[in-house]
Amino acid sequence: MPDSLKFKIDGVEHATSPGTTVASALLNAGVTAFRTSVTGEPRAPLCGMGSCFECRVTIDGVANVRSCLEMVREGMEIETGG
Amino acid sequence: MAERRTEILVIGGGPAGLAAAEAASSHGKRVTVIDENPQFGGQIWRAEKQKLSGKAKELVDALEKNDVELIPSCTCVASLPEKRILALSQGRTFPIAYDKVIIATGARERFIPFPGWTLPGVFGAGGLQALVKGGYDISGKRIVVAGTGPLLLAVAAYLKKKGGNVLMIAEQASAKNLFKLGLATLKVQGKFLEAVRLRFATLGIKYSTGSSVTSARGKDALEEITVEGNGKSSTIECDLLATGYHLTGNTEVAELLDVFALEGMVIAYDGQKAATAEDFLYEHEDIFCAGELAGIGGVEKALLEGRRAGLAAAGVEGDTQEVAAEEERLGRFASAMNRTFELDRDTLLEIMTDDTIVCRCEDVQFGKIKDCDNFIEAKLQTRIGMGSCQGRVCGSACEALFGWGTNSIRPPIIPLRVSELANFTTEKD
Amino acid sequence: MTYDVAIIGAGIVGAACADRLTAEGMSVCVLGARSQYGSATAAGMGHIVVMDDSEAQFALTSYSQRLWNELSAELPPEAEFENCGTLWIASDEAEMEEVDRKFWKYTEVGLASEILDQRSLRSAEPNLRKGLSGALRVPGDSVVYQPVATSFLISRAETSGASFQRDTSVSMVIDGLVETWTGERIEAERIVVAAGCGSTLLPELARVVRPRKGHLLITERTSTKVNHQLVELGYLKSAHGTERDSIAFNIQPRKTGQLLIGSSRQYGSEDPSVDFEIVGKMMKRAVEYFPSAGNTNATRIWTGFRPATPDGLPYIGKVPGYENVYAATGHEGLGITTALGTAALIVDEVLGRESAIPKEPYSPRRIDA
Repeated sequence: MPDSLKFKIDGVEHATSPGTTVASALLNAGVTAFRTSVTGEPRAPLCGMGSCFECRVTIDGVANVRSCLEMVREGMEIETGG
Repeated sequence: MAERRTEILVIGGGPAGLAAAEAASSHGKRVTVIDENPQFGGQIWRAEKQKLSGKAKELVDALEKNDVELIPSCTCVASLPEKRILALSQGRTFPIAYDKVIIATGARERFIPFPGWTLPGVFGAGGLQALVKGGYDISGKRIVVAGTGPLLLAVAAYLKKKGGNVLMIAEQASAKNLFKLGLATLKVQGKFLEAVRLRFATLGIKYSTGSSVTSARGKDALEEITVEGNGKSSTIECDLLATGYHLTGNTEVAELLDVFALEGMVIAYDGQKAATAEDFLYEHEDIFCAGELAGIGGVEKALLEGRRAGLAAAGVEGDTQEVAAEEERLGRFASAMNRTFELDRDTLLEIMTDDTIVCRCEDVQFGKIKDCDNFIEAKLQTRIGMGSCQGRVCGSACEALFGWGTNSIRPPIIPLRVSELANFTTEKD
Repeated sequence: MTYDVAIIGAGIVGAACADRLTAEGMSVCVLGARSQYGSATAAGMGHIVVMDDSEAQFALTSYSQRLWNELSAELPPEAEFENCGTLWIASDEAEMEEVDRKFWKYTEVGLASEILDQRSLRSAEPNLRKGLSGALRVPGDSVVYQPVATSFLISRAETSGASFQRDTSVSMVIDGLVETWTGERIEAERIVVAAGCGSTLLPELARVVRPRKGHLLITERTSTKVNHQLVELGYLKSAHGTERDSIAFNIQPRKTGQLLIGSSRQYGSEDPSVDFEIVGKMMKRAVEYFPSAGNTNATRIWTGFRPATPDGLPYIGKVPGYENVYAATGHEGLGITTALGTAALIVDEVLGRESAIPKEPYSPRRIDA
């Protein structure tokens, strides 16, 4: 499938194919720190299915969204590391 | 907020939930199915890039034909009086009123902490598979699959098929126990063939029994791991570690609705197994449980239980004898499997160090909780399990490490905007 | 063996009593009905606050606050003791008059307080909504993470020889003897009933102690800054009303950056489940006063039961009809604040000493009066 969906990660433009979850798109983009833990560690998805809350990012201004449960949409703006 | 009303509410759209909805809707009942994921099918039938296939597609098509209301990306966050739940979808909450509810929330992976498991690059085994299905490209990545349970083989086979360079499978269970399970699978023909098929698919991958990952290291992300077992220790450089320790039921919704969850088994009236929980029968005659949350046993058991729950909720006498025989056969297999992959507490504890993080939400370390007497005390004293995941990860880890019971879910079972709660009113339209 | 004192209840009040009694060299046994420390204690808010509904309430809360300040240096950092002060917020001119009244009253007795006008309130708490009239700032008030404070007090008592039994429900108390539901008998010279709503195991207290249900909500960590414990002055009306359900705006800043949001008061319900109707009203109120709270995520909501009494004062002291059974209960929403003062009064009574404040107003003798 062509990378027809354009979206932004921390202000930088990326593209992916339809049906890609936000978590998977972030991993493909080489993001390692999806969020910062309470003691300052970088964290990335663990469970991939909505249980662990490690993959939380800010999507279109809404904080703490589980990125594994969201599909990438055209024009989506994702912020990591929060 | 507008209240929705349905006759039969099914919570969870995996095999059990879909089978339940299909059975009930085929008998003329108005059915609503909600699922937390953007796509139905559950974990086992998780769609590749959103394309359902096989049995999952068949069931979803049947539901659409039967005018079943399907609400994806929708979570039950709380229980309300008068047979209603509070649902959350796309940031908005609304009550759903039901006559009967079928809880089919499935299972998640059980994770056991070890030093370094919080590094980016360490995934759940099923978790990595789900992310690959969601579009994560793993071609050429060096991957180790570790932990325990039948899922490891399936995951390794899948990751290899998707171009991952699977270096090894480290299975904590001993060769002796696995052999015993092999004998059990012979009695269940379908399961045996499945096991053989997976073994072939993973051929060429090192399969190491009696082995555990004892630590993971890396600067900002995973770089190498140590695997120990059978008196040996080795360091393996890898990009990804997929680790899972069998499964544990998603009992949160059942707990919200006051259905007892005990030792992984949900005790509830489910039309057939009422004898196991006579005391609760009168309270729960409108609540049915089906699938993995009522005991880990695989997709066939889930389909069967789902169908039975769907028929019972619709008030239809099922094909009970056939179902009972089939269920006994699958139940035998499930208990053999669960025995094989039972975790050895001493082995798990040996791996832990005082600074190993157990609760990833609050970064609570093993050393802080090891002297606590129970999970509630540990929660209150150290905040373990008090973060966003509400103990979904550390709760089952503590169960495995300390034998603590962890039924202490509080609403909302996923975080919810305060402004949404401020809009809440139970007044009906 | 026969203990000098058996304490029924392992919440903050029982813990404080155990700590004080062992410090006096007495042998103590603490019986907790649950696996954790206390139930109202675990569910509560940890606001150490001076209240002046009555002279007696003022005496006990301000005495206790002094004792908390003395203890604070010894508390572990996990107890998160923070002297953040309270802001009593006035939303209109009528409530500003109440601010005035409180200020003069506190000044009269030497308790520090400060009147904030509209402008100084905005600079003290910029996230409160615009247009509020002002507030009374009481800088001596504090917050504490009470489960850790409770565990600290019990552990310290244990170090001094106290015995602590969890999961021990008491079925009966007579002079000299406590019997548990499992049939265990514990002998003690004196018995202190500090079991919150469970204090009704004593028939005399069952007539007067009633559960008053409350809800609390905690948010995820947020960058929204709250500098004080914020309470609307209307809270006083809410706390005074004895029969009707009431809610009031109350936000506590936690050291973690989480917001603990209250509050509700309900009589007549013994159902511990969360009532979303009440929570909805609470959150609506919270967002009215503190709009940015609306953008935070609630992680957990729970309920608890405060042990309320008809006159709003706790029962501290010897229970009529017994030789040596003492009550230390009925603190309603002020159990955390007044635990230390309560324990001091109990010890003074047990040892036949003078107290720092008059004991009489809290005496259970008024049950029959």
